[in-house]
Amino acid sequence: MKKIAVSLIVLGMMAFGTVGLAASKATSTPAKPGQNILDEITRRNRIMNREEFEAKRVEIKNLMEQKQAELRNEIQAKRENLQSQIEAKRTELRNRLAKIKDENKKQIVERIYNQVNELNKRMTDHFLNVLERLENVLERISSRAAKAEANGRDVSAVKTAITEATNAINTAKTAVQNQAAKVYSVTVNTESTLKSDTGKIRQALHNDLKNVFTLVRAAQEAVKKAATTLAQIPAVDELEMPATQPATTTQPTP
Amino acid sequence: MDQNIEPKIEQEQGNKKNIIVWVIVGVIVILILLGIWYWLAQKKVVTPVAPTAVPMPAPQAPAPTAQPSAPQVPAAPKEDSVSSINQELNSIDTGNLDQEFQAIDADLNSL
Repeated sequence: MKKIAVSLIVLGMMAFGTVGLAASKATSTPAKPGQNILDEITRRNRIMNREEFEAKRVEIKNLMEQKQAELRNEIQAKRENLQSQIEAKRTELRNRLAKIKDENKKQIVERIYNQVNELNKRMTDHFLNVLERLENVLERISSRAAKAEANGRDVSAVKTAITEATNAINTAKTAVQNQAAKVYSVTVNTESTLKSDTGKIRQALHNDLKNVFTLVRAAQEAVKKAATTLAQIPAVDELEMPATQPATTTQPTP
Repeated sequence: MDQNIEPKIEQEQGNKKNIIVWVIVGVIVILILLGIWYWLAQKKVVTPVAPTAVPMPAPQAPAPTAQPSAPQVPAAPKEDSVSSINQELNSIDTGNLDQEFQAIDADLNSL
């Protein structure tokens, strides 16, 4: 009887272990997709068929959208935390403005303070939108390059351009993220220096946004370069992934 | 008397063994069910990533090579075609920073 009991326990544990292992394998495969579809094909070191390619592409797109949403949520959370800081600095500014006699000037300074912080929010949102769109375009470039590679074309230059563009986008994204976490405040000294005091935050925001803008433009140029390099592949738009495996011949567009 | 007690003890021991066996069998069944449940749960997580149709881009303007007189393009360019990529790239506007500062500058100049 004891032998039967022990055998049953061992059997049960083996069954549980097998199921657990199968489950972990099922989840681990899609957890580490490549940076883009081209990377994914290179990583697998073999040509995918059309269905497999489209499925992988959808997976990578989903992952990209998920990361974009995560970044947006992260920035949103930071902004919510900054809101109290902006309010506190506004109160501080009002107290400092108490020594200014001209009511109109007081209102203008406060308005500029609001406008500067609002513009920072609007521009960082705009830059983030631009970067997301560039990322989507880069995914398309990567998809087309993968099709070209599957048809035996040399895509090494496109791959390099895609990597550079990806890095440029990531650098710009980090800059946008840091910029979104900034709060600008006016230090009021005297009524005579009010214009220059207020002008300082305008200039500070302008300089900061200019730096981020330069990075966003660099990312845009990098993606354009990748697109131009891709376009240099002869008849690249006519190339498709093979319908079945193994692929040996170039297939025309269906 | 002793002859009657001995079978009783044996019967009790037999019952205990039966209970133990049933408990073990029950535990194993629970473990197997847990394993299946875990596997199914993991499978559900993977399902959304399963192959689905690639979303087609919104109908876009014809490529420069398309016939200009045709009111509708018979087949829209693929979203990863060079013309479609360039079209999307050209439509991305990074904005004009100095223009965005116009309102602030106007207020600043009135100080």
